[in-house]
Amino acid sequence: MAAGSIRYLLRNVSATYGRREALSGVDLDLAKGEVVALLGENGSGKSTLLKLLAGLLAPSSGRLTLDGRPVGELARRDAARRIGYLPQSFEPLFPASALEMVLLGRTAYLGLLGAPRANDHAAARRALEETDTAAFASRDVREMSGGERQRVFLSRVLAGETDVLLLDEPAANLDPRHRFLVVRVLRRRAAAGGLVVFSTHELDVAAAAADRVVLLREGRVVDIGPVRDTLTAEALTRLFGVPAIVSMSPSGRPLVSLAGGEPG
Amino acid sequence: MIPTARGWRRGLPFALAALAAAAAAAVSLLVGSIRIPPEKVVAALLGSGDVPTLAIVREIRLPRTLLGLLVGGALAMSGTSLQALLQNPLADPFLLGVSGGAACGALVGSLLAVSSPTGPSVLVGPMAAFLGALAAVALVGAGASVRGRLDRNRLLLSGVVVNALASAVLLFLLSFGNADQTRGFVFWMLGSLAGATRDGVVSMAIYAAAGGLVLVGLSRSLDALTLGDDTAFTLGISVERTKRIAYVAASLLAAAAVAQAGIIGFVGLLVPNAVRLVARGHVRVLLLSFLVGAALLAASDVFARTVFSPSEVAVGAVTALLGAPAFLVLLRRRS
Repeated sequence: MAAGSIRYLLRNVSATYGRREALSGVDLDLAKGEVVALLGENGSGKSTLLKLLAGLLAPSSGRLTLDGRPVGELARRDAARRIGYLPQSFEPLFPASALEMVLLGRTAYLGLLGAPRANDHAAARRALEETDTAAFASRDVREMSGGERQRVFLSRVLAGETDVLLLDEPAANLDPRHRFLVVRVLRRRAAAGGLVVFSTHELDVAAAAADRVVLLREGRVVDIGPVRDTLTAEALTRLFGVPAIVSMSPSGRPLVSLAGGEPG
Repeated sequence: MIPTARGWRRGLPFALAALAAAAAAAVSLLVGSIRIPPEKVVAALLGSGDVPTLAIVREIRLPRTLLGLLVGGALAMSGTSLQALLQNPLADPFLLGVSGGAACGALVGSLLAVSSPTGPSVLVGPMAAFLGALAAVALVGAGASVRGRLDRNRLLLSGVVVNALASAVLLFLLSFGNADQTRGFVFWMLGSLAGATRDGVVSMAIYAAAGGLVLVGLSRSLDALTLGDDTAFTLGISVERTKRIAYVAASLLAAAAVAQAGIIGFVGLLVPNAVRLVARGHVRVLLLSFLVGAALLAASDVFARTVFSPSEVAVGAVTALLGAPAFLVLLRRRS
């Protein structure tokens, strides 16, 4: 993870599925060393934005570059060694142990036959340790609970040792202890010079992990800024239509709770 | 060198599958409607013995045994790759209508060739079947696509429809032949190794090797595809290119099998699902599937021709008898 420069530039970027516009007119700069949280209701465009950054979706208009080059023009294997992506949901269909699943995260480093080498095994082991899943490395992922699986899938992305992590709801289905663990993992990756962009509905995770937050509504960015200035009670109430209470922790991070105010 | 525990665990399934295939082949060579003592079979294989024994062993039993092994292995590899690239453990060249399409192609090919003076070549027959298989793949894909993306849940339904269409076309085509031809075609359609010839074996070996090599070469991509198209893409795989090549290879394997032995269902479904329980990574899954598929079909053929001897059951009926209940088990486990 010797992060060189990482700089995503989005200028007036829009994206469509068929005729439906999922994202419109997004301007955004993302750089190394930061954790960025995407917040918004279902269908607000969080996943679409992550797919754009991953190159899974081409902008229907506007300009999206990584270090000056359009993301769609990056060579697949090079892109895979720089950008890790966790999709929102995945149902494993074939038998595979956690370790085998995580080793697939090394695909961009493997030869034609897909045989992992010692350093791939080492990376997979480290990634399993990071998400507290090493203890069940040999268990079949199809027989795991939703939260255990989620951590294994996150390990799969971490094993790629990419500079950029694009994570669609990495904290979904997790108990409080493991939500906290994910926060630590994301902070550590950014501290090591990586860029982490993740979507979440867990406001506590966003408040604890993010340097900046992007608030999305109906495919538009309604606000971007440092977590303490942006994650305000008014903004959250407006965004989710639910009363929110925000106070400040001694460390300068917001403490968020929803539905804490007057009902309705 | 003493193998490690890990080496044993990885090698054991291969050793057992190879043993099973060898055993099935041995029984297949030894057993038939005409009783020949084992030592005479061995002698005949080595080239000595009386003319009728030589003819039975070398021209009938040996090609039939080898064809059974190759067809079973080819169908199993075809099913393995279809399952990975469709992300559906229930995929199988038979259930997806690929075999039906191949049968239509092969039949059209042989009907056209019958009227030509040279007759069908053993390598051209599979090509006609291959074209039929590709047409079926295209139709199934069109039926299962929603806004340009393949919908996994519609796939089998679409396969059922293409299968029905292929059956209808086959029945229409059969009415063009004379009564003798029709009888032969119907038996072939139901899946049978009775028509095995030396040339057929050589042709099947060439197609099986070509298709198998291509798929093994795609192993890393097939591994990644089991995580879904989006994830495979972000892992550096050229998803569309991989899928196109794998479809062609899987169709080629199924088509060659159909051209030589008719429609034999469920081998491509059953074998990979069993193999995936003990082997991971598509290099190993493909190779082990070949061995297990070979053993299964050779053994099924022995059963098909001995159970009601001297009359013969279509081997496709035997594999369906095994495969249909297994399909139901898989279906239930998935929901």
